[in-house]
Amino acid sequence: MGEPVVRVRLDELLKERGMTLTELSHRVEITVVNLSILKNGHAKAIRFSTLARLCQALGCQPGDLLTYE
Amino acid sequence: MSFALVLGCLGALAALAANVAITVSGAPKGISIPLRVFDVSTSGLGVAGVAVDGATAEAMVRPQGASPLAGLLYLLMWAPGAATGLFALSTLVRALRRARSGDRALFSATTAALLHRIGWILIAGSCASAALGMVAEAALASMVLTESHTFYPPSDTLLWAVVAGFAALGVSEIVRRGLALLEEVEATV
Repeated sequence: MGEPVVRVRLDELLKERGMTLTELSHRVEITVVNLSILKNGHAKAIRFSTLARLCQALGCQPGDLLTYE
Repeated sequence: MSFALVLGCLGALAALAANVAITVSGAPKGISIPLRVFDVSTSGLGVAGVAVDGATAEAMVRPQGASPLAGLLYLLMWAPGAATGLFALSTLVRALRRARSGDRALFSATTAALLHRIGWILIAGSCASAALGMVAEAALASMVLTESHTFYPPSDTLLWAVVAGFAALGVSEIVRRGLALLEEVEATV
């Protein structure tokens, strides 16, 4: 059994809103590289400020962005 | 550091040549085996009003003629310590050479592993050298001196080498934890 992980549902939320990663990157002022790290599950931690900006840009709650698997 | 390593190797080679000379043909003039002598007479050593309780000296012994056993015992007295020092120094040179490629290469898991290795080389090597040296010095002293002891304490250098070994282990742990912290910070978005 694999270790439980927290996954960032960035792909799904972007698809639902018809937004690209580059566009989100401009809105939240976070590099595409860092967003990709988040999207692909390579990030070890996320700052509250980053989470707040993502929620603002995507119009969602932190719970919509993160899932526990 | 590389210069120190070269000097150390040259010194060890010179000592080895002297050792071979003692073993094969006897010690020529200028080459002798240092052996500690305890309970040296202290009469007249201190000024008036000062008592001198004991003195330790180093006798420079020069066997006449070939003495393979003396040569072997003398080799056991110095070679393990020298090998330990040179091995630790060469590992340190390897670790520091990585600094040429930049700070990132220096502060890496490889450096932490090399420091860890240096620590154990110094601790294990010094303990083994101390044990071998004590036995060899006692045996050699009983062979060539009229008065000898059964116990010859290890030299301060070996004790300090053990301390340096523990220090290297500590630094290795600091580098390892620092790297883990850095990785975590870098992976924070």
